[in-house]
Amino acid sequence: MKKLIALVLSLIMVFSLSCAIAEGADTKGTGVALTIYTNSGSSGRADWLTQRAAEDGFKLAILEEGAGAVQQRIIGEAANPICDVVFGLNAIIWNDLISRDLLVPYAAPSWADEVSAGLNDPNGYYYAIVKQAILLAYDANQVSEADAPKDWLDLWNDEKFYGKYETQIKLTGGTTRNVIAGVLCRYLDPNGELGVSEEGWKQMELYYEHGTLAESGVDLYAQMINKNSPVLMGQMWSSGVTQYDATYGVKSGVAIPEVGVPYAVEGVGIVNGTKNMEEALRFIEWFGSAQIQGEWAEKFGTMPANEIAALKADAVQQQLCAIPAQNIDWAIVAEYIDEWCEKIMLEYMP
Amino acid sequence: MTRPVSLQKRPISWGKVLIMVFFTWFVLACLVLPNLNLIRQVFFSEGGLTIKPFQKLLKSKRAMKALRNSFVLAPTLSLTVGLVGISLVLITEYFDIKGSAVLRLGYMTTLIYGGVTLVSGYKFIYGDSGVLTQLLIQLFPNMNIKWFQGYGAVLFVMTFSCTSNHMIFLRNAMRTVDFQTVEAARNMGASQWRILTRVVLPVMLPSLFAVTILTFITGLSAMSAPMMVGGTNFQTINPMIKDFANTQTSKDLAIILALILGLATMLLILVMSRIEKRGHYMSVSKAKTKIVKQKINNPVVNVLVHIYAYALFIIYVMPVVLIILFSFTDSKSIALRQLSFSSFTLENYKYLIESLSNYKPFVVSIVYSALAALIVGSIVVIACRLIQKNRGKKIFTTLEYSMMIPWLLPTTMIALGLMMTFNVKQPYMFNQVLTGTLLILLIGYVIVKLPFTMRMTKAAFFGLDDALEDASKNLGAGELYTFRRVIFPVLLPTVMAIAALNFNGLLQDYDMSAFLYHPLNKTLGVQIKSLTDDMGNPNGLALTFVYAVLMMIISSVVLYFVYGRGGKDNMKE
Repeated sequence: MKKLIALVLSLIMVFSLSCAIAEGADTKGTGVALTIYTNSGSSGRADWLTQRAAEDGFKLAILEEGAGAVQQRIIGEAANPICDVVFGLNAIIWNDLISRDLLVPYAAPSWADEVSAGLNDPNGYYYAIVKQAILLAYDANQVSEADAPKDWLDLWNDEKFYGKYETQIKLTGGTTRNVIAGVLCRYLDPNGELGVSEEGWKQMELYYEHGTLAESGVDLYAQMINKNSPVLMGQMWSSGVTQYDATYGVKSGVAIPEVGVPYAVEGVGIVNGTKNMEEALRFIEWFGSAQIQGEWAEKFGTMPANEIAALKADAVQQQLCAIPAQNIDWAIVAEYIDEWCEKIMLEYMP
Repeated sequence: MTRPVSLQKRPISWGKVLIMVFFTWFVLACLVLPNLNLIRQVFFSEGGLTIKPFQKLLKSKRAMKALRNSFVLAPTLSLTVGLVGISLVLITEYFDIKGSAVLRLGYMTTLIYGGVTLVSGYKFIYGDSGVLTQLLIQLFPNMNIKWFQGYGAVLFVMTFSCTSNHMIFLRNAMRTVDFQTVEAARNMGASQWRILTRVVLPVMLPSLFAVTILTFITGLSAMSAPMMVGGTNFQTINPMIKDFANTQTSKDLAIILALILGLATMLLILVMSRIEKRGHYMSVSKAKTKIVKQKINNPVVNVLVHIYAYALFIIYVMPVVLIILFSFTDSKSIALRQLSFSSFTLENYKYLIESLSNYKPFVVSIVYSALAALIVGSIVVIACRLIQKNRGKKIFTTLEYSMMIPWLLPTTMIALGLMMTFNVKQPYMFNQVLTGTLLILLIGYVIVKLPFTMRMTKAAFFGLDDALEDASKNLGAGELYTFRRVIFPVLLPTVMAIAALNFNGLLQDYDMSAFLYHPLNKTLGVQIKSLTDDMGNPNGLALTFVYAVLMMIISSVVLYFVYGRGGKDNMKE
């Protein structure tokens, strides 16, 4: 009997050891159902992931929504969380969820070191999977590189750009909020209104004063090619640049500010209160691996945060995401961004 | 008489008690407490109510101007839509107009599309690169190509796009006009105009009140039209409310603004109810006959009315035609508003159909919408019956107004209220956690459709001939039997029409679904939103059109089956 027990124990040990050794894409799921929330499931990404994960033994139910709705749901469901793992979002929302104690920190997955420096959360609440540079794009067919803006601030401080850039009326989108953060973060002042100096708010006022408000239902690139519209430049995310160029027959140029550009970092985190912690950890180990992230990048044209997987991304993406990251204190942004947007909507929008 | 009903002393009806218990629970658990909970969390989470949000709003020129614009738009729109709506009903149902069947189809196009797509359709014609503008610019080279912007443009678009309720409910009312009263008036020598204003229109008043309230609300909560053709001078408040509602710390502003609009709406409802109580407009003869279309006697007027009718037809139909045409092109053509054969493509249809080939969201939404339409219809019919039987009793008036609560808050907020209230066990929800279940979205759908259903069904009850009920009772029928076999059949066309509208509306719902849908059961609205807002697909603009056409087809089918049939039933006496 003792022998049998010993045998079983040693078998368990061997088994658990082999489990522990399985790293990255070799990790297999146990079939425990995981509920996953993401804003990054469109273009067939959610379906692809469900299938690809099933091949490796993971059983996923993916809820796909806009970033704001994902955030709202996690906050609203806090008392009885439904979601186990959340991926996508951006640093602002990640930091908001952390400040509300809605995520649990977890030990770094094996692939965490392969991620470009500075993208993972220093406290282990989320690790980065995809990065997206938030750019100021212009139509290079109508604006030469020499005449193009070098930075956001040029748009409203140089008369020749007045009216020619698009400003957003809807401030709930991730890209828009990154742009606002990128501007206001240069003027942080603990004594200023909402943590921003007077000069900072002046800049924001001018931004809206001299811009052309976006027209609902019409894309930036649609405005660029429309002869009746003065708009020639505006915000765009890096993977959108190539896609919109192709759709609208535009050739985009992008501004490369000295301070760098904001990066929307999509990460993966575990919701505080999950009942499937072990499986969640296994899934994350698998999902963030260079192998899976590489497949994801190849299939959907995104830019992996994982540097090994990044080699699979297309050349233009690699080039755009080589622009240095702006130094932004995301915790401060997360604290204030809602109020910043509120102030802009109430006071500066025309 | 075998059973003198009124003389029997009846025992307490347990059925009635049960119904009353249900309504008390329903109003408290679904309408009052979740919303109060939300308001409490928003206003009192950070140490008590302050006047700060009010100050912020008062200080904001933009918010005040938008609020003012909404309050300018709502009454003027009620007026213009009322006039156009009445004229549509007269053209299609009362006067003898050549080709009225075709005209009617044209006028009914507003039932199958709306929102951003509809306004885009108008911009294809009147916008800076629109057909009409391009034509005008040939004649007047110096004209301002951005002429279609501001208050006038918003009013124009909305006047012709908000007549859906008139085409359904006012038409239904017109059909209840007793032709014998018209003939009697004519025999007494009344002119056509006098008959129209003194005999026909008064019968339509209860329905006209009801649809006017709906128009007023539509005006107050205008969204797409001001955003797309309002320009910087005529933005309204609702887009702002929506954005604030979706921002964590700005929800207090959203609630305040929404309550201002809601209270204005309630005030109007109150006033209308008072007026309604004053007169009970009924056609009087005992054996009704169907209306015979009137030929307009004055030849000049006749010609003018025909011109007017066909001009309206063109205004109504052009946008739809252009949307369908443009749905076969790419985003670039849509952006430039240029139609050409070279840009003709079926790619977007292919893409959409492939993306929706996982037909599950369709099934989920159809099941949810049908169930919700059925439930909300049943609840409201029972409630209206109670209110009608107990006219004037306070508790039932309270019930009536409770059903209007969802008009006080934007859909997003109601969804949040449900989510934040039922994420823990609540004794009044039988200690069940509802978030993450299939049930919560159904509850949400029922709630948002309550006020509309309530208001329109009530109008139908008001239009009922009391004589019918009395006759049935005199013949010895029980209360339930009378209701089931006499009253309900008369109401059925309106009830069915409301159900169809609710079904169509819910089928595309996004605001409620976004927060409440079950992870494994995505709804169509969410699916479509993720297709058209897809950051990974820059062709969203074209997909929006393709999806709109798809919805037009679905809506038409539903309306044909439900309303088309209902309409015929109504013709029978």
